[in-house]
Order: sequence, then C-alpha cells, then structure tokens
Amino acid sequence: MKIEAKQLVRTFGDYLALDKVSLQIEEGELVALLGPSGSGKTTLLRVIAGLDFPDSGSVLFDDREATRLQIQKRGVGFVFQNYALFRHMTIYKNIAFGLEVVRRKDRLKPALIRERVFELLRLVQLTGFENRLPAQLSGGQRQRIALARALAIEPRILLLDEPFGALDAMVRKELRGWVKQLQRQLKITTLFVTHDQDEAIEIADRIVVMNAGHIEQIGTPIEVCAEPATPFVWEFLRGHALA
Amino acid sequence: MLTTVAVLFLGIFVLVPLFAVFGEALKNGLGVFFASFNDLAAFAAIKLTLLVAAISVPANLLFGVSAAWAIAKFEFPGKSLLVTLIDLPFAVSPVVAGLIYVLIFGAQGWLGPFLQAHNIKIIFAAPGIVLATIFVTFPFIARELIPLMQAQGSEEEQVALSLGANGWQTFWRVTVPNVKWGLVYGVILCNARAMGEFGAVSVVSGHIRGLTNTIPLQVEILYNEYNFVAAFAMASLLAALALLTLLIKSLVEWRASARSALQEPQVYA
Repeated sequence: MKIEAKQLVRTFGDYLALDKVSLQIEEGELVALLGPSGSGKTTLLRVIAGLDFPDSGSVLFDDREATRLQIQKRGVGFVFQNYALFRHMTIYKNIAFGLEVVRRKDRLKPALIRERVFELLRLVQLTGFENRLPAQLSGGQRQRIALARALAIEPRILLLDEPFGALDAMVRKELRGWVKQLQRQLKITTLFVTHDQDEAIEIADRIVVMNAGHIEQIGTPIEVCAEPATPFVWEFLRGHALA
Repeated sequence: MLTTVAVLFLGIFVLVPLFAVFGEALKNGLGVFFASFNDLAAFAAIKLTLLVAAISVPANLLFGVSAAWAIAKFEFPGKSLLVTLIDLPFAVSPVVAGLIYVLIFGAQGWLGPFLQAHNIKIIFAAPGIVLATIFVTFPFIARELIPLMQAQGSEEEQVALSLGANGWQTFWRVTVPNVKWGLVYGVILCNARAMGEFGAVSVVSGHIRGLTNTIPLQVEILYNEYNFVAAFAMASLLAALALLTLLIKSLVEWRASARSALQEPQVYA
C-alpha cells in the first residue's frame, strides 16, 4: 500500500515533535526513518499507525484519507521495540490473537487459524515453539514472534519501531538481513525507525533523515551518503557508507 | 538476634491473642460454642455482614479496576487528585468516615429532611453500613492494581488494538489476565476488611440488635454484657476469616511467584 503524509504537525505541550512533515512511500518499499533521538521519527511512525494523532495535516493510504481512522481499521502491523508480546499467552496464542478477535461471522475456522499460525511459525523459523511463553524465548526469537503476530492479520503496511534496538550486535546483524529478505518475499510496504546509520544504509530502499521534527533529506542510501542535502545530513552520516 | 525479636514480637502480639480467641470461645466445650450461634441476633449479624461484603466488594472491584485502569494507562487532568483521594480512607479515621455519612444522611444532616419525607432509611440501617464499608475499603483493590498496571505499561494494549481487537476484548484478553493475581489478592484483602470493619460501621449502625449489628458490633455488645463465650465465639468467626484470608493470600503469592519464575528471561538460542 502507498502511504502519504501531508504537512503533519504534532506538538506535545511546547515541544514541536513534527513540524510540517510531508513524505510519500511507494507500494512495496522498505523505508528507514533515520535520526537522532528526539527527531520525531517515532512520533511520525505512531501517527501513521494510528497510535497518535496529528494536530494538523493528513495521512493518506492509497490516496484515501486515513488521518482520523482508528488503528483497528488501518490494517497496520506494528512492532514495538520491546516486542510487547502478550506475556501470559503462549506463542501460539500470541500469533493467533489477531485472527481470534475478528467478529464471529468474519472469523476463520479454528482449523484454518491453526494452519495459519503454523505457517507463520515456519516463516519466522520458530516451528516447535508454539507452546512456550514469551519469557522462555531469546530476544531475537521474541522479535521474530512479534513480526509473525503482526503479519497474521495480513497488514497492508508493516511499521517497526527500532526493531533491532534491544538486541545484541551479533543477533542484530543477522536479523537485519533476515527482515530485508522477508520484506522482499512478502512485498509488503515497510517503514522502520532507527537511529543506527549503518542499519538504515544496509537494508533500506530509501532513507528519510529526520532532525528536530522535520525531514532533512529523503533518498536512497547512495544518495544520502554521496550527496547530503544539508550540513546535518553530512554530519550525521559522516563515516558511514555502503559497505 | 533480629529473627528472635521478630518471632517473639509476632508471638506475643499476634499468635497468643489469636489462640486466646479460639481458647475462650471453646472454654466451655464445643456444645456451648455452637449454641452461641443458635441465636437470632447472632444469625442476623452474620447475615448482615455477608450482605454488606456481598455489596461492597463488587462495588469496589468495579471502582478499583476502573480507577487503576484510568490512572495507570491514561493521562488526564486531575489524575494526581484522584490518586490522593483513593488514599483518603487510609489517612482518615474510620470513625470520621462514619460521621461524614451521619452528617450527610442523618436526621439532622443535609439530606435528612428529604430522606425522611420520602421515608428512605440510610443511617441506622443497612444502606448506611454498606456506604461506610465501601468508603473504608475502596483503596484496597485500586492500590493493589495501580503499581502493577503502571509497571506493565500499555504497549500490549496498543498491540492488541493494532491487531483489530476492540476496547472490550483488549481489556478482558490482555489487561485483566496480566493483573489476575493482583486482582485476586486485592479482592481478598478488601473482603476481609469489609467483614471486619468496626469504627465507621459502629457510627452509622445504631446497634439495633438483630437488625443493624454486623459481626464485629455483635462481638462488642456481647462482650460488654459479660457474655464472654458468645463474644469470643462470634470473634472466632472473624479470626477464622483472617486465617482463611492469609491462606488464600499465600496460595496466590505462591502461584504468582511460580508464574514469574517461569517468566524470567531464559535464553535457549
């Protein structure tokens, strides 16, 4: 699905988190929102998800107005930095959640839900973990379960908040490649927030560099590295380049 | 050394009186003990106590859960005032709590003339006792849940919403299961206090035998009449309730800790 943000403004008291932010994300793209903390990248992600609402401006999904649409109606898969797995539910129940809360008349038959959950477990390479509790999994495994749970509802877009932030360096590198591969395979429009330049350069199709509530530059990793549009981008990406 | 002090202290101030209650109650044998309950006034007191608990515990369950939910998961103006108000019954003497209700609903109170004109009895009747008990016990469940819910944050709820769940489903499938043991614990404590409350209830009850006496009030009356065996027999009901409460509480804590031991991060990969 195509996502468009037009002139988004969001303030928290005196603090301007989003200052007339506009951008367009094409169907099937993997886009990184890159910036230091406090740059507004997570706020932008939450506004697109419907977890937060802008003071002014609009969000369009496939050219249709979605600014005030409730999160339930948006069809977004959202993954939190700390995964927010339902701690009292087994892995199976976690993944099945989005399928089981559907209104009875639209709900899949239990056998089909079961099939879908196991299919997702295969997809994230965690077959056999269905009866574990979230606490019995490693960070990387929890991350993959959070993705599987988000994918269960067949979202039109995938939004990831610092998806690799809580992982140690080794696992992080491994998961990055895996997420990119998965995104290619599913061709789902994906937006992820990161403060890690290398991470954005390595896996994103395009990078949105943010600073102090506004967008400094939007471009492919090569563009932002080779032709930084502002002194901030040059400074922020200095020393980082395509490997 | 410290352990010895603690055990001695506990023994003198808690265990000895507890045994004394059962000892006094059973002094003249089981027959006399049970005969104490075979009395209309005693029976009425037990019935009233159960009724009061049966109304005030669910009322505070509803209030406690909604207050905790609002305080822990949302930001709104007046939030710190609400938190302070929840603690009020802990800070104020129960007698004062009772007097407040007399001041409002009593014959000389603000609403007195109106209530008399419509023949509604609140003070010196069961409704007053229920109101006073709700007031005294309303922090128990909310206080138990607020820190728990605050520690858990609201990300799991946000995820549930993003997966298509409505508010009701999110509350019952995500929020409640996550605070289940805290909720059980809060209800137990609330119930124990609702049944055992003396001060506030004493002020609004009027001590009408067989009508407005709860178990604690009945104990006092019997004791003042030098009817020691009957007084201690009634008191033993409350003591038994306390023991049962502690038993359930330990069970809950044991279950909860078994659960959280399982939730310790374990890395398999």
